Amino acid sequence: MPSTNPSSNDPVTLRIPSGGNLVASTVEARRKAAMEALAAPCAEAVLDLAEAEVVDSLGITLILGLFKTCQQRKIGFRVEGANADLMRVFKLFSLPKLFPIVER
Amino acid sequence: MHHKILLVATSDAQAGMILRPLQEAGLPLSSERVATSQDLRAALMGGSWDLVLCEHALPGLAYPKVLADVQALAPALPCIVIAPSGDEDLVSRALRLGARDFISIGRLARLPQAVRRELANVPPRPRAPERAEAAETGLLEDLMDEAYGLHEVIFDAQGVPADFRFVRLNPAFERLTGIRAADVVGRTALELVPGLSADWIRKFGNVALTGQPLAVDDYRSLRGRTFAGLAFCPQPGHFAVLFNDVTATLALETTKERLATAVEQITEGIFIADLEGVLLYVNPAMERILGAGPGEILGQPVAGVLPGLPLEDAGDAWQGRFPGRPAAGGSQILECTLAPVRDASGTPTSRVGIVHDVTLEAETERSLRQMEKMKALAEVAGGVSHDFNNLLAAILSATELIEWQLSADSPIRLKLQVIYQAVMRAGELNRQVRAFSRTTEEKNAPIDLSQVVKEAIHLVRSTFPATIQVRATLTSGLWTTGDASQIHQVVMNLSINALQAMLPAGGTLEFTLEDRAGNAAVLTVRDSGCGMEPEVLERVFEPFFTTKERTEGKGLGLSVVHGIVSAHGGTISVRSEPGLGSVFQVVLPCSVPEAPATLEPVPEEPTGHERILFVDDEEVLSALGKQGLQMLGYRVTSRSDSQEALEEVTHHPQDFDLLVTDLSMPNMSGVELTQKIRKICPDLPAILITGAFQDSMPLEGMSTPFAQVLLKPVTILDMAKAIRKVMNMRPAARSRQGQAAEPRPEGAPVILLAEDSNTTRSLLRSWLVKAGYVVDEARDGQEAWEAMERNPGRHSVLVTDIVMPRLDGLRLSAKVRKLDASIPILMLSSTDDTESVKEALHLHVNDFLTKPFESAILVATVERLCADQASRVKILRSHETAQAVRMAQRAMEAIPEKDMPIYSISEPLTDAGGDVFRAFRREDGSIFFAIADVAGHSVISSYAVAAYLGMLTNFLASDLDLRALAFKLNRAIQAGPFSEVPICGLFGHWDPATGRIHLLNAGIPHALWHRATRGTARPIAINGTPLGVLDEPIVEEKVVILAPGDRLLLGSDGFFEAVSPEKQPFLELAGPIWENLRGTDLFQAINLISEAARAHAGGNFGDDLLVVALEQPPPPRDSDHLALDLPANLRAIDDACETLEAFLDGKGWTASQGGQDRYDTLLAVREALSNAVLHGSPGDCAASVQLWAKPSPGGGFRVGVVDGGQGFDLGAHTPPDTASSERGRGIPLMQFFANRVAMVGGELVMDFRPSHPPLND
Repeated sequence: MPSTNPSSNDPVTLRIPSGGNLVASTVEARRKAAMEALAAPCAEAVLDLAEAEVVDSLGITLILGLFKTCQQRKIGFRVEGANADLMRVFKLFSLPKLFPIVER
Repeated sequence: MHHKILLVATSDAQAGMILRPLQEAGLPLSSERVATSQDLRAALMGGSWDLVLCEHALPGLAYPKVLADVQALAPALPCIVIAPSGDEDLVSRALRLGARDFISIGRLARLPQAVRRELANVPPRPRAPERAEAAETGLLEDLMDEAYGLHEVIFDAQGVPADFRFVRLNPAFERLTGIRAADVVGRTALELVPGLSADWIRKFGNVALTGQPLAVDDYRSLRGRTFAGLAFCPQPGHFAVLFNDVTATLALETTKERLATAVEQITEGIFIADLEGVLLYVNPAMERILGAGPGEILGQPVAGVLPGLPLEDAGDAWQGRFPGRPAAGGSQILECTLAPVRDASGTPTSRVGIVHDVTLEAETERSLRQMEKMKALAEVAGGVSHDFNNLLAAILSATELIEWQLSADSPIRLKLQVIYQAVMRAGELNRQVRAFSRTTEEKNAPIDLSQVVKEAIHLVRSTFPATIQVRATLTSGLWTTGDASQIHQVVMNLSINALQAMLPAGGTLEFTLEDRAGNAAVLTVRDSGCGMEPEVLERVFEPFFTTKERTEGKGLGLSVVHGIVSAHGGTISVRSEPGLGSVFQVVLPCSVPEAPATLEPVPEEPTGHERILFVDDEEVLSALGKQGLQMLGYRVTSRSDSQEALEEVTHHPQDFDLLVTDLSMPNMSGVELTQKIRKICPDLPAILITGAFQDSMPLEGMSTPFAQVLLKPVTILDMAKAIRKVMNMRPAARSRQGQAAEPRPEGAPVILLAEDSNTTRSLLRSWLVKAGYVVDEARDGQEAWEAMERNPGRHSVLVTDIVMPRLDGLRLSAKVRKLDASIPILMLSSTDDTESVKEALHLHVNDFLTKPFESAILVATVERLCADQASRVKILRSHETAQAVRMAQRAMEAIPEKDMPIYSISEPLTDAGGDVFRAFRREDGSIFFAIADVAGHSVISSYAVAAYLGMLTNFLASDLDLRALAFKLNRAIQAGPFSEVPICGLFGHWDPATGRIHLLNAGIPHALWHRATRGTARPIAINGTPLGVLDEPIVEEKVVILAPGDRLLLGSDGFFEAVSPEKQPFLELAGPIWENLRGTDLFQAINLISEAARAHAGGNFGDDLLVVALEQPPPPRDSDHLALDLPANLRAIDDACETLEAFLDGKGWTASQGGQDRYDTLLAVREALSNAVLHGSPGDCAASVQLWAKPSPGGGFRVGVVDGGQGFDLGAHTPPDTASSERGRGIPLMQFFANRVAMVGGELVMDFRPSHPPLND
């Protein structure tokens, strides 16, 4: 999950692409990549789930971990690109109450 | 005349107190107070005073010093010392040092009188020159008690003091210092003491130069004395010293200081109270004991702080204990020694008390008294138990004998069963009494830890409140060495501790018993109670330490646990946090038990013909035991007196093959009897019957131990089995001597000939021997009876005369008929005594011969009677043969179960009880099977088997929830007629179509699973408690998915625990053998592994043998099931989900029913797989996870995920408490997306039905 900053007009936003599904077999690698990306200075982090079709409970744990890391660093956090199935799962666990989630 | 008083006092208040009576007396005076040595000297030297009033002990200015200063500077000035008490020593010393009077504070009223007296005697005040003059004359000094020395200072050229010369010394100087004036006057100090410190010369010179006096407080003489006094300047260029020997005074003060320090630091509390009971002094220890702060209770009445202390009589000493009242609350026991303090006249002036906190000692004493009481009670209980056992044994034996004599359909049998069960229950009660008296267990005996812990948990479950949920996971087969009742107490004490931590809210109490590396057993007791603070945790094993009120507990429970565990060579640890419960962990060393009795070969039929001497002081037991054993074929001589038994052996040392004796008998115990008999017959085996092990000590030191020890109440059958076992273990039959003990020649009947006439007996014997018979001769009826009694069954025919001394032929026949109803009797008579013949016929005498008769008639008659007897024996033997054939037919042949692909081998040890296997095919094609091991091998056990099979069949008709089935059976067994017979069970439900097999274990711990796909066999580790023992049995379940070719081998403990002569259990070899047999036909494989077990056990199984084998067949071609076997890693989850997705697609679980359902199904299954991979078999590299799926009958799908663990309680799962909680979402997610989620035996099953209701945003 390489970190990128493609938004030239908003240089303080860090976009973190999911790089695929966030499930048991992938979360550890995704977590490591996301934490490396978050090491760069930024004012806001965006997790892009455009490439993710499935997020399981361990994936949700990963998202919550990123959210809490951003909170500690006083960085804004939001999720973008979630499909309808993912939104159902996120709502099941009240994630939209914690941070903004933009549906695909 | 107005007088001036110099007052040496601590404070103005003190001065006011002293002066008040003087003012009240109207004495015209004025005063000035000084409190330091310097001020005193200045006042003495500068003022003119009429009187000095001196408080006795100012800091740094004690009265001796004041008196010395007064003596030195104003010798004529009277001084009165005022002190708190009129101590005799103090008074005399003060007067000796120059005080004119001594007044105690308590008697200040006397002060005006003393002052008036002194002032009246005051001479006109001398002026200073007068004092110098007096000094010059030396008269005054010579009268003084104090040492006085006048010296002239010698100055050097610069006017600096360089030496001093002795001018005059008074007698007191000479006396105190030992220096004679004649030796030193006129000489200088440096002449006399060349090494004299220049410091002294400087100091004294300075006095002479300046006129300033110098206090010399601690000058130490060469003789070791200490002087204190003053150097002053009586005339220019001179100085005088005035001093006293204060060595004794200093020593006394030092002693007082030491005493004061000791009193302040001693651990006993010390107080002093006045006669009104007001505290004048308390030491720090007293304050600590009462929980008071420094000075807090000073001045308070003793009755207020020590309400239990008797203070009525101030003049008497008192010693005793009384309850304290600590400020911190709680109870306290104090011990006090109270004594009056008296003045010189013996009048009490105050009271001193020494107090000691003896709460711990009192608790200890109380506990010891309680222990003594319990010990005494236990001894009484043990004694009662012994007698009670004898009564039970009598009832049991009589019941058994009656039952044997009844026909099979007798209605009395049922009533006898009621008696039998009541006796067994009474026996159990008695065992509990013995357990209380701690006499049932031997110290350092092998203990089945699992069993002891299970029993304790049973007690916990049945006694703890319903708010306490008890869980247990116990590994069986863990043994240690020690005292079972103590280990039981460890579990109970830990449980009670946990209970108290969980009340009143309740909670969960978990027990775990595990094996650690094969050499230790780890018992973990975990509660969800209030937990402990660190400071409590540190002291939790201390005796009498408790956080509870004294009334709730003694604080001994955990310290007892610690002591027991340590005594067993184990360790105990605890971890706890407030609010998070506590975990106690006990580690005990494991030991390999001695060959358990169940492994010894037990005879199939406990019958025999050996000669037994049966001894029991209870005549009823003696008679019943004899009768019962005789009915089993043994030849029994019974005695109810141990001395008579000894005489029997003494007279007939070769007539017995075995001694069976009670332990507790008057005059001579069973142990003593055995020891004495062994001196006559060293090799005679012996069986001991006892009510308890309380007399186990006398067993020590015996050259040959008892071959068996049986606990009362014992059935005749059990006794006979023990006899058979002992007889079978004998290396060879004992040699016999003498006619009566000779073995009967093969085919030659033995005739017992009773005839009192030597001539006739000799003649008849010769005829019979000539005809080929063996003849045992008896000189009268009594001798014949004894021979028969010793050797029942030996004789084919009894030939007896009628008229004989001691016991005639008729009475002999009557006795013989009671012993053996079928033995032919030929009666010889010398006359035609019709009355005797009638009586003989009544006794079923078989034939008569009237003397004289020919030899041919005798031989022909005996021959006919022998033929009848042979016929009788033949019938008996044919019965035995038939039974042996029946047994043999059952042995060692695998039987396929009614067209089911499941094989079993059953080889029961006896006809009764034993292991049972049954399999039932259900309508859906699945197979239910049950393996049961019924305890015991008695008649009762065989009835229990029948009852168990009946119950099982009934329950199976309606139910196949294995857990519910086990619980139903458990209740049915407990409520049924054979509740005393526990049953170990292993239930299985196997669906050959899918390979799913569900096992539930209730006490048979072994199953081996050979996995064809991996070529390995591994045990399925599940365990449980036998049914019928606990109100709620502890069972374990496991689900496995068999792949085609997988084989399961299930067995009872008789198979897996068959031990080699080297004590190696077959279980250790069974796995590799089962692997090696993978290519062998299943039928052959089960036979071969059974033979392997037999060979391993040395040819004999010590228990019933039961082995069951099954093999998963290939799947049907048209299977609509999915079954996957995955390695337990995360990557495999994705592959499995893809396969499942394709399977669901193939079954139409797609767009027609909404993609949402399929997505939800896959997500829930993914969660289940993650859970199985991550938590199913942690740390097991070879672990696998199975996934199966199949359409549900009503539409939708059922999916199962199986891991290597034993599953968990879904209901106990805690979901995340907040949205931001990071864990705990997997199970809620499954439960949300699946219509049903269930977990059993490591298998998580989810049902999915279409059209899941939409989510509410």
